[in-house]
Amino acid sequence: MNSTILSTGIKLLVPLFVIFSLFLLFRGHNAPGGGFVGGLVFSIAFSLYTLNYGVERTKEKYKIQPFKLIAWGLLLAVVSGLIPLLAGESFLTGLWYEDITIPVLGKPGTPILFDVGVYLLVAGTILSLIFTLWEE
Amino acid sequence: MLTIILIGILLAVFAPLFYKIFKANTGKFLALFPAAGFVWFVSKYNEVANGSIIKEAFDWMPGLGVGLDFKLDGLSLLFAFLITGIGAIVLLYAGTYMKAYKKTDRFFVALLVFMASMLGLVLSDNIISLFVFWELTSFSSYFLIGFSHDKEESRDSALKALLITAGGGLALLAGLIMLGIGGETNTISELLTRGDLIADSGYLHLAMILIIIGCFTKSAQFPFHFWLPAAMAAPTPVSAYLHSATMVKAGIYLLARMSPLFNGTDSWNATLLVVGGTTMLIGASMAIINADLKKILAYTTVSALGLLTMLLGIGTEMAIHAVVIFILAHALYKGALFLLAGIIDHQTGTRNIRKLGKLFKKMPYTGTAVLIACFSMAGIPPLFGFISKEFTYAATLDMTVNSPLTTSAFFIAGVLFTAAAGMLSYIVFFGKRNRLKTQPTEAPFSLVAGPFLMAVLAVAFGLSSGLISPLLNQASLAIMPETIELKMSLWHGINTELILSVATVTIGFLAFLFIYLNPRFMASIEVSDKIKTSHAYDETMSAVVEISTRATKLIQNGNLRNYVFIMIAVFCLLTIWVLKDFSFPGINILWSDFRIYDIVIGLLMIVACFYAVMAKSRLLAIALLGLVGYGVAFIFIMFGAPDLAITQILIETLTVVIFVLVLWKLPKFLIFTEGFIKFRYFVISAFFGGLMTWIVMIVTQYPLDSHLKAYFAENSYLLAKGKNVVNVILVDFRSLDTLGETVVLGIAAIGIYALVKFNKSEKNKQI
Repeated sequence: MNSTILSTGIKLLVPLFVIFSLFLLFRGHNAPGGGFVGGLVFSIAFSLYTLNYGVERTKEKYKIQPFKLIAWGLLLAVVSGLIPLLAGESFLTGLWYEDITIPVLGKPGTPILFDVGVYLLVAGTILSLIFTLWEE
Repeated sequence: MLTIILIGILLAVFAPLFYKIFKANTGKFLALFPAAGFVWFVSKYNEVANGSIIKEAFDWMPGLGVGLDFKLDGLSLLFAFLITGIGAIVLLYAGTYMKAYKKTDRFFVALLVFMASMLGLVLSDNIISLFVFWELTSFSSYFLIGFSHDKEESRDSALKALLITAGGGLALLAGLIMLGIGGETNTISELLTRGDLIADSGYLHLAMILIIIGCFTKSAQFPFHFWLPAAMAAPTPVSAYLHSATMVKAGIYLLARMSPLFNGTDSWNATLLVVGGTTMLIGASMAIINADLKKILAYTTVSALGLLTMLLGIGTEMAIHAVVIFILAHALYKGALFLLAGIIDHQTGTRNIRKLGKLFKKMPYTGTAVLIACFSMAGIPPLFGFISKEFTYAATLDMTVNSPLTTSAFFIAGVLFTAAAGMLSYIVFFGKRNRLKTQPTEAPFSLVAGPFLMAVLAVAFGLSSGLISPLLNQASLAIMPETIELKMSLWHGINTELILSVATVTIGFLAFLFIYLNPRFMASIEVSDKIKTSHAYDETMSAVVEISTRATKLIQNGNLRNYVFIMIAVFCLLTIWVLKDFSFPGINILWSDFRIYDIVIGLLMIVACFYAVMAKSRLLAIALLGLVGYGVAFIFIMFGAPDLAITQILIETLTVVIFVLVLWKLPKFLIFTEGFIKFRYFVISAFFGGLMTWIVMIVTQYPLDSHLKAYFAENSYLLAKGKNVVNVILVDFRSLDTLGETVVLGIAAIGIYALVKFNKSEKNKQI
């Protein structure tokens, strides 16, 4: 599939997509957005790139390994659940650091970590799907 | 105690990292863990030997009565010593032995997980945590048996062991839960005192049967014994550790632990006695018709486990004493023999006793250790095995009924044990023939040291049994609360036990000579290869595969439209069945409620649907369906659900992209369906649409506000510090659900990868 407009545009759009996806991820707690949506946007960026340039070039240029994303995502989500255990709470209880408030994000806490895990996992899943189907 | 177990698990997680740092010395480094554990348990020795019981309790799921409760009494401490002590020896040994294998780091991971969970198993005082650790040992055993996963034999054996032990584990779970319900507590030490309460609930008998099944599968009792010899496909350190000294004794441990509750029930004693006795005889006779060192050891292990079960079945004071003594004696000599068999294999390249001989001069240390261990196995004084044998004879002679039968069964087993010991030691080290191509040398210190130490301990405990008797005394008290004190000594005077013991060894030696001096017997010794002990298992497995293949071919014939048709049809039928009591609600639509853009988007979607059905090209149809999806997203926006709308739009976009990727490979145009089939799809679609409309109408009849909605809206900012309720529900209030869903997503990704990549030969069959 070769479209000059898309293939030129996507090069510029990928960084924007990624930044936007991170924005969606971090504002999720207080406004529409979140890890799932962020992950989808992230994967759409590279899906479109793949449609133009193929899997090899995408992997080469952006050093993306979908299964690693999935693994890290799961790890982060589980770790965010395990942290409260150390504080004597039950698995996956949300804990916050109350003293500071970060713009967009709000108060930092384990749910954000969990959301980052979801973000990575969703991105990894979709990209592994796209890459696999494309290579076939 | 929890700390030790957790350290073990943590070490397992980081074992690959340590392997990168320490390389070949990983085994030595990791052996520090069980060694430290051993020292800790030694520090508790005096306390336990004096009769006190050390307890620890941690809440896990207090609402369900599930806790990480640990209890250290004599029986637990005996097993803890075996697990940590032999564990340290095995890790040291494995560091050298496993050099020939690849990916050794994984081996250490599984071995450490096993070690930690086995410790958890013998220390647990809660039925649920006991079961969790029980299953963990089964899983780690599966990974260890199948360690050489590129060999079919290893994979089969691993699966066999897993299916048998984990299947039995399910029976055990059911049995334990029944005990918990009947005794109204999940704590084992309390359950053991509540026999009457459990009996009143009516669960006692069924629970007993289920627990017996669980223990029999784990401890390789007849008719489940066949998995243990097959498990010899594992690397030798694993066989020594899991399949002789520790894991297979988990069943024995649990039977012993449950003895205060069940001992005295006729069916309990009879079952254990008969099954144990049968297993003992089968194992012993299979042992002497094998030529493979490890197989001989495996069958004698089966036999020893049978003996332990039989003794628990006898259930008298003497028998319980014999149990605890034999557990220790067997772990020492059999663990050592396995490790030594591994050394012989490692140095000579074969485990076939017909090829081995005249090794003593070349491997003097290994040979000495084997001789000592074999003497202990045959029950020759002054070794610990002798004391064990004396006690067993005392127990069988002491029985009120069936004493002659049981005594003679043990006599036969003892004779066969002696013969097997002769085959292991004499043929290999002094046998006349040596058919090896290269001449072996003595093994390095790190291999011989461990088993040599175990052999020395067998001598030490034999000579001064007072060293260990306080512990064994406490262990038997845990199995049978009111026993007289256990006293061991080598010399009891000339009595029936001694005469029987001497006769056993003598006849055993004659039997060995008969086998060894008779060339025809030696030649035909491998007959056991032809005996299929697991025939029923093989038949069942192939039947399961056959039935699933047929079912799959019938239901999943590869026509995707058929799948969708069946799914929707089943859904419709089920929905109708659920909703059959609801009537059709009246339609009261106020046209003035509609806004102009509602109507525009609605019309747009209807038109898109219509053209999607009529489209002659797949691409067009998909683009039109995308339009419908975006319409839905618009509706979400208009009714104030921006999160849903964003997700919907992104998913639609991705769906189109993925479809395009798939369609790439398919023909552009085709006639989808014709005639009757088309009609069928039309009917089911119309029906489905109508049904969904009906559901929506029913739902709107009921008020929509629930207290959950109010709760989430109120507490999302107060408790979870987030203003976006949808997101807060996803990542905080219901985060366990989300975690589950993300795991499913990850598995789906791996599944699709596997489907596409590994199924290339069959891809042409798909539409």
